[in-house]
Amino acid sequence: MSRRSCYLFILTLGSALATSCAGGGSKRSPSPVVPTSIQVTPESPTVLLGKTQQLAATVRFSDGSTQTSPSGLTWASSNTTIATVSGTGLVTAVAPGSVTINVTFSGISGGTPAKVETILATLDRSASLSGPDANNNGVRDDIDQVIGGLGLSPAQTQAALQYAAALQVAMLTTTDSNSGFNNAVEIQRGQDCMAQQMGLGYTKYSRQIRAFTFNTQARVMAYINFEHNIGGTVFPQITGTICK
Amino acid sequence: MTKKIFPPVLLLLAVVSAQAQQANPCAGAGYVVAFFNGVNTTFSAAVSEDIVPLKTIYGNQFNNEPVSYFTFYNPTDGLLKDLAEAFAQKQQESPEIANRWELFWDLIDGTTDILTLVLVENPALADLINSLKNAVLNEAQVQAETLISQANFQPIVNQFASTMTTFLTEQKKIMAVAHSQGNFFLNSVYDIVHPTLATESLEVVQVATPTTTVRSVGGIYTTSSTDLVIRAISFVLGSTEPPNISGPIAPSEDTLGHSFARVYMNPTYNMLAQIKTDMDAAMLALQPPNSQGSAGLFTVTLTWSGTGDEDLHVIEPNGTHVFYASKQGFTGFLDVDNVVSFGPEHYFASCDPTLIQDGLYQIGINDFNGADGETATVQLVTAQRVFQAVQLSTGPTRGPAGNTSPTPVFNVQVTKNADGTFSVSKQ
Repeated sequence: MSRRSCYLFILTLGSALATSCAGGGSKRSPSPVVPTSIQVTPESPTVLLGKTQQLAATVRFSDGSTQTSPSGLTWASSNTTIATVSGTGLVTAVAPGSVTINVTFSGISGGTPAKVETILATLDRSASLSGPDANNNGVRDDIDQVIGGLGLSPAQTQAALQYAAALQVAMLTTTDSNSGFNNAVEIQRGQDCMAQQMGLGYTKYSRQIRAFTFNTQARVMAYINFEHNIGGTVFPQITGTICK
Repeated sequence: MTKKIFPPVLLLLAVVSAQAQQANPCAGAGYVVAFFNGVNTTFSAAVSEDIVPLKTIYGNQFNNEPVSYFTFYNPTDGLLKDLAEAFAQKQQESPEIANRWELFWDLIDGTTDILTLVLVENPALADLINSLKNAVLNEAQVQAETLISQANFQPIVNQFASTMTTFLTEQKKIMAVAHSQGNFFLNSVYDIVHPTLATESLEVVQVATPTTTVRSVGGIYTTSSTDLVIRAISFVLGSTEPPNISGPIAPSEDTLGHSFARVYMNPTYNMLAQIKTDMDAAMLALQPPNSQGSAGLFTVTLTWSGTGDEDLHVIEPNGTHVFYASKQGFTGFLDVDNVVSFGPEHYFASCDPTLIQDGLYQIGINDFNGADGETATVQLVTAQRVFQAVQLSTGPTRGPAGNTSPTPVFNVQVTKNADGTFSVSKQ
């Protein structure tokens, strides 16, 4: 390689490769290290509407080395009405649908399909009143996901989970006015805890949690049965521990 | 869409400190703010969201006396059930919303929170949901027309009246605030309780009222001309109190313009100032009830439906028999004894841990003289719970002979907890 072509190469691939030409002169240099492939992670992500997902690109070079998210990556979305992607690989979900997120680096390209879903599409709508609760925290797993996606602090998340669990118990275990009262008090406590942790804007979240928890006809009717059992009761304010 | 929420941080602090303070069951007389919820609400909203603006205004103290808050929760399951049927029917016609029951809750709240999330998938849903808003108004009309004739209306009124009588007997001054359907209940409760009072210790504030008359001093109330629920109800009832203030048209907080917390009590709109003026006037006008009753770890209040002398009897766990002839028990005291008519008679268990006995307290009644064939109501109250009142016949006159064998009503179980506190349950 001539000195001239070496300069051109440096211009193309940047200073990291400049050492390969350090000897200079007319002496023949080893083969230049060039990028050979590019892989995007996570693969095939599903991003909830309105949320973001950070992608990373790992570039493999001809000498076997890899570099994660080197500078010089160019990101693009196949359909920006569904998802956009920033220069750093941050995907923002705009509307439900499927897109491909592409990335290029020094003439080679890679990419991954990505899907944008609304939170509603991920809700459990099984016939079971209780629904799946793999982590056994008293809250349906999809409601865990909903709460996790609300952008709350850990203490606020805990408050939302307390409220969600109380709604679930009220739906599942209310058989008379006595169980109705006890269950109602826990709903009240959960809401008070949310108010304590989030301020007066908590109702925006408590309403979402209620709507997503009682999201089938059977669940709505079971909740109405709870309401039936507490009508005509006088409720004091909560005493004792608010946030469990 | 941005939601308007109540802004200042200071208000929030007031709420939080109100929640942090534990209720002392034996605190002084003080004030009770009693909230009677509206029609298209749910427990979650009534007991928390609707109480918050009231707590924000009056906090823990008014005139250097404690303020406590109670939700007189009248049933909403009838409307919910009817709306669920309407929603299910709509689903059959419109497969787009099949199984989308989360949208049902937008109807109840008059919001578009959930719809907004769904619209991105299917913009056509907006029309469907809008058409269901008429179902809300129709069902609200049906509820208003049939409420008073429903089988559970009078028992609930009696329960609420019994609770208020207990508070008044325990020297608490009551401001009752009713919204929407709650006004039907409040009017009926007021008509039972108010005539028994010697002082103005019960004041009412009426908001979004679908009733023909109101009970507030000077007949004041606040109903917005843009409240579509009340407008629909007055259309079928005909002679309701007319709107007297113009509120927001289809506000995003509740497009029906009806919610207590999100519309009427929202500082963004003009109704709050008027309601607050009425509430402040009501609070300031309240006079102490003419009663000697005390609050306690638990209290039992007896009332009856006419003349005569019905007696309350309590047998404490150690066998001490508390009644008119022996008012001082080991734990409690019969501090109100009525020998003429209606009651109340009132027993309170002390809050002094050295006097509280754990075990069973037997509650009974005896028709000492002339209360024959009437209805007796016996109410158990603790700081944590207003129990369902028990109603039974007063029984035939038995005179002093009945003192040794009062008619059993229920037992109260007091249990000492590991942390030294006491739990009270009804058996």
